[in-house]
Amino acid sequence: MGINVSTERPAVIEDSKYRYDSFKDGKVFDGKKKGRLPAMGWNSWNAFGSGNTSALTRAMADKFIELGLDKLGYEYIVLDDGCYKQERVDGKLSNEEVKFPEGFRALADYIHDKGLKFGMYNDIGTNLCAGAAVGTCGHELTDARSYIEWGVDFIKVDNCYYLWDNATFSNAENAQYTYAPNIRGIEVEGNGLALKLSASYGELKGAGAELKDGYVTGIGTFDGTGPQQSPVGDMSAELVFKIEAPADGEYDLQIRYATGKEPGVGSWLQIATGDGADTKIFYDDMAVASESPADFISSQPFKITLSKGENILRLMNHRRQENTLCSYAALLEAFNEVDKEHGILLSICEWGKTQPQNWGYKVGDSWRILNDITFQVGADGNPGRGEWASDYTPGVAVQYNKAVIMDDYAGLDKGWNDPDMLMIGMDGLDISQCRTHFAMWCMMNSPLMLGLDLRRVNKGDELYNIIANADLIALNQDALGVQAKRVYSSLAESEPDKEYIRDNNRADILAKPLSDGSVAVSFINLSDHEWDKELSVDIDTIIRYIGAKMKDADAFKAASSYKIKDLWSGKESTLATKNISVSGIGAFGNITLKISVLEG
Amino acid sequence: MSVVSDEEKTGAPDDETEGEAVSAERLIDMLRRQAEADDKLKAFDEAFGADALRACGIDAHAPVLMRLDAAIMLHTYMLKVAGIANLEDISAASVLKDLYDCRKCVNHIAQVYLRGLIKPRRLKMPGGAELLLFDAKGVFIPTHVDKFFRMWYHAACG
Repeated sequence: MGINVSTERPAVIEDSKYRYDSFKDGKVFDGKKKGRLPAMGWNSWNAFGSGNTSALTRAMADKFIELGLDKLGYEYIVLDDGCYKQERVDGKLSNEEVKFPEGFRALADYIHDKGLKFGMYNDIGTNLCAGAAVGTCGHELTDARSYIEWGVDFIKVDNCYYLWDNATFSNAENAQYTYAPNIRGIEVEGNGLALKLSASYGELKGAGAELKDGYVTGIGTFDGTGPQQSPVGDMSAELVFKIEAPADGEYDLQIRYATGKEPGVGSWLQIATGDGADTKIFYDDMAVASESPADFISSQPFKITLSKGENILRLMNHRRQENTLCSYAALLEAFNEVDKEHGILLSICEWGKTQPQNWGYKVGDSWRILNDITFQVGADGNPGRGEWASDYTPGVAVQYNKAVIMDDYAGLDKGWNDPDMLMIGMDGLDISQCRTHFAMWCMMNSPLMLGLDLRRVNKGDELYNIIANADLIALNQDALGVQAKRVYSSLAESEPDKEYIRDNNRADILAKPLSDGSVAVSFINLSDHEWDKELSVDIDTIIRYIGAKMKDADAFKAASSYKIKDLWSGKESTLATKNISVSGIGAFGNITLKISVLEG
Repeated sequence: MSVVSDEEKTGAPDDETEGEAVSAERLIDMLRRQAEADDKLKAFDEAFGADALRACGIDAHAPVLMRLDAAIMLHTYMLKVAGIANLEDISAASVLKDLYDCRKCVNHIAQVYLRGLIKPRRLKMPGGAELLLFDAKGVFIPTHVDKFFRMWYHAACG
């Protein structure tokens, strides 16, 4: 049975597969395809914003063929926001008639006739980000029918106007669903036990919560939309008590708490015992509201069952992740219901808000990791503008800094971290930055969604030579399907593959195992000046970090010489040592090499 | 190119929130008259036709105009009618604490804020600190509408 989502209240979760405790079980939902490589294609947003039209889209499809991008692996043409009517028509999605006069099926046919695939956009909230009141929430089955009738192969699904989180354009008070109340203490009674514990006797598990003035606050999942916090490690917190029960049986639990509707203090409470597959949920709903987050009240007695001996009692709220998972799952399940053989690729675009690296693999093929890479999108005649870095999410380096340490969340059996669409060809980035942008995305197995007006590209020009670099694309599309790992950073203290480093005055080295037994190594200068120091990495270091995912690490290690190919210049050379070094990388530049065993 | 006079510094919050709200049609009418005066009616009609507004998600019949919709309309006028290019560096607009709350509107808000076309709002915090907000969902009160046109004139004339 699938999940039922509605606009009335967060989903009632009866199947544990939608629960936080299942996030690490490695199981994907029906209809989610394993084994897919990162998507490649073109998306209308960075190029044309809401101003995309059918005519522009057809022109992009024509350019795909003219430039031979289809032969290089680019296949999806995706309509982003701005293509629907502002309201549903007879309950259904409908094309905006001025910009898409012939309708979506005809456009899909045009694209399919060229051997390409057709993608569209929607949202798990009530409205799309640009405002149209046609979000999928509560309309999943109807919309799935439409998309399948239109021949959609790819769907990007956004998170604006979401009802159960304080997402973009949502009610800010939706934070009440995403955090548990402040908790001052508990009482457990029954079977001769009468226990009264203050919050300080509990253990704060995970990250984000704190004990303050005698109560615990911040129980929930913190917001990953902005670049402030590392994506590695715990993303949420629980307050856990160890309860020694005198006998198996039912007990009364009372909680002293105070509710709120703001980040850090909410109103939704989950009470559970045990963990993993043994988790029992006893309450999963709104708590009766208190006057304010500072006015503590006692709950009604909750009935819980405990086993004789030590029990783990968990007070938590994982609904921020669970609700969002349920909403994406509802759409996937609707596609399954309409056509169980559908192969629609689901691109999750909730901007990293609910830490989708934990759960996205269950339903989706990729998940955005941050808010947008640019807010200065283009229009017909205006290429828009991208940046290398900023204090918020715009910028190549900002997105890279987070994605580069997220390799353990990605893979062929999961899906891909998505640091957003490419900005190659937009104003604001020079050729060196564009080349490094492309090398980064290829090494990180990020989806390669072009975001420029392709009419500005001609075969053999600077832009073409970047987006059509077959050697770089081959890294991204390598059958082994492993995201590169950062094996060195000039600013890392001890764990370059785990440390979240936002200072761009540095150089990184990434290593990526490939299906033919070789390794790609990228030396990246993120700084705005030439990196005049030598950068080097030895074979042992590479194997220490990625050996477990290599085809044959022993053979690679034992080789007496290696063939090295520079994937930008195409030049080949021989390496007879165990140390690979480069020097003099220009500002924002990269050197990306493929290293193969020459002699064993 | 600066189009903001000293007394119209973008950083100065607009505390005049008690003025008279306007409808979307009223602002469109004001913009149209300005376009007519500047002999730019053709560009205006293309940018502000019903289809174009609908495509931007703006209800031309909204009785009370939100600050966000005003930002979109003024930015559209700036770009497509007055012919004023976008400012390239919008990082200074990040002083608006709610700038990124509407991820599809960031550039509209940043451009009109940095040009001084819509002033920020001030939120006083406990302890006396102040935050600057754009307040996208707030009611647009064109207290100094005439200034917009003067600014456009200056901008267009360099």
